[in-house]
Amino acid sequence: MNKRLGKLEYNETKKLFTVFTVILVVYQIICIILGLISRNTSSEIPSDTIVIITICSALGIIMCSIIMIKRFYNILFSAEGSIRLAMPVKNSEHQKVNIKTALIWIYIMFAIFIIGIGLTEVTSGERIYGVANTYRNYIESYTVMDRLPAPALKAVITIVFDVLTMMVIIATLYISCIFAVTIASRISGRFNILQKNGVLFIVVVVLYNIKALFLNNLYHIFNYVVNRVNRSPVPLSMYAFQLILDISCVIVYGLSAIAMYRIGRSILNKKLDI
Amino acid sequence: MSTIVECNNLSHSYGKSLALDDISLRIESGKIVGLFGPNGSGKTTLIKMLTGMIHDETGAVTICGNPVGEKSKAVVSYSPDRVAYRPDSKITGLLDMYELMYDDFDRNNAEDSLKELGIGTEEYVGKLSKGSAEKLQIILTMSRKAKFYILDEPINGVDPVSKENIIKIMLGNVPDKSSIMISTHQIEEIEQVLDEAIFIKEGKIVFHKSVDELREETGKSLLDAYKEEFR
Repeated sequence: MNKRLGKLEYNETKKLFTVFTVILVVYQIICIILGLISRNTSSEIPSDTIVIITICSALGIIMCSIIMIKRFYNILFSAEGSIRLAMPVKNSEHQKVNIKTALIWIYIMFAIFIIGIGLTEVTSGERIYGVANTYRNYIESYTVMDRLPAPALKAVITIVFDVLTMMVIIATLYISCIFAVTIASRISGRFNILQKNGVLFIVVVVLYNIKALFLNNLYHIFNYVVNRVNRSPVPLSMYAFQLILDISCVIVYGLSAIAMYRIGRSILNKKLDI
Repeated sequence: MSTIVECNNLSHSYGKSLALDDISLRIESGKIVGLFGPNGSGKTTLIKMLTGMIHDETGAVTICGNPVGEKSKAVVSYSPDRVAYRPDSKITGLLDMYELMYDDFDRNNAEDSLKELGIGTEEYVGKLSKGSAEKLQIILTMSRKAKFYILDEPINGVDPVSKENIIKIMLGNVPDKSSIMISTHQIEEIEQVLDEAIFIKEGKIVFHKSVDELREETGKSLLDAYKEEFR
């Protein structure tokens, strides 16, 4: 990645995203404190407030993603692109730098969000999303249901793969938005269509439907395979099931992200009309 | 005298519409070239090809011997036809951006020019008047020590005093062997500073001559020659 362009992207986003991140940290601290309060009171207000703050935090992360997508959109669709695309880097570097910077910020915010939920669950004693008890639940499953050796190690491995899967899914979702912007820009430029936002909307809808159909069918295939294996004399353990699910998601989402990234890169480097 | 820009058999279409039709062109170093033509003649398409915003498989473009790409973009300084900075950009942020991305950017020169014109570096682009924003864009473009400057409509829609200032900025900082291409409809404002003129009509170059030669051969001004060609 062009280092200068990367530094430029970071410099231009650091102020706004640092503020968002600090707000997110403050929100999570408030949730943790409210969790403690909710344990000692019969009032619903602290737990309701936790829910509202959690929703706001999630929306904040989504908004940050939209801001980053808009930055890329401006390069391909607005006058700002004239200056950016004339910079001494390959056109596809703008895509690469945007994706890398966006994912770093999103991962940081998401990590703060998840850790915040986990700590809130610990202080409140309530199961919000089961984050705090994930490790314990896996150990219990592997010890009681699967009767596996080294359940603690296996629980850690499963959590690592769960985190990796989540990171790949987030990356794929973001890259698919960037890909939609690139494709829409190419189509509207190639056929000289003025309603560029209309083209973008149609591309997003088509892309979403293709992904939904593909992933839905994949899910059915996965279920079919697992059911067949479970009917065999040696059925799958929870541990194996979870790992296979995670690895399948990583492969499928990962490959689709790579494909969209590479196609987008080719479009940007060879044939891009604004 | 070396060749800064060389285009051979360059063509480009938008769908079925042919924007550039087999253009061949050469611009030598140290020249100020005017690019003229009616709206839709292909001026902006040609500029986009020179700046690398459009790539086309038909024909070849080289800038200082390099095909259009990272190396050529490093020696081309481009000012688009509209103010291309986000309204929420601070001028100091733009100076940082140019300083980071271009080795040949002279920040002190840019800051001095801005100060001369009364434009503060702590201001936001959105708060500037149209004329000031255009001047800002020209200052940032011309504060680079590039080999080739491309200015698309630099004096369009600004008051006469701002026009004078912009022309002064355009010519004030140019290194000796660098060339400038100015695309504008304001022929009479710019004629005096030009070395060469290119007329482009329906995607084809119909005229490319030295302005002095034109005057000596025909006794006509560039504006008269333009009117004759495009009447």
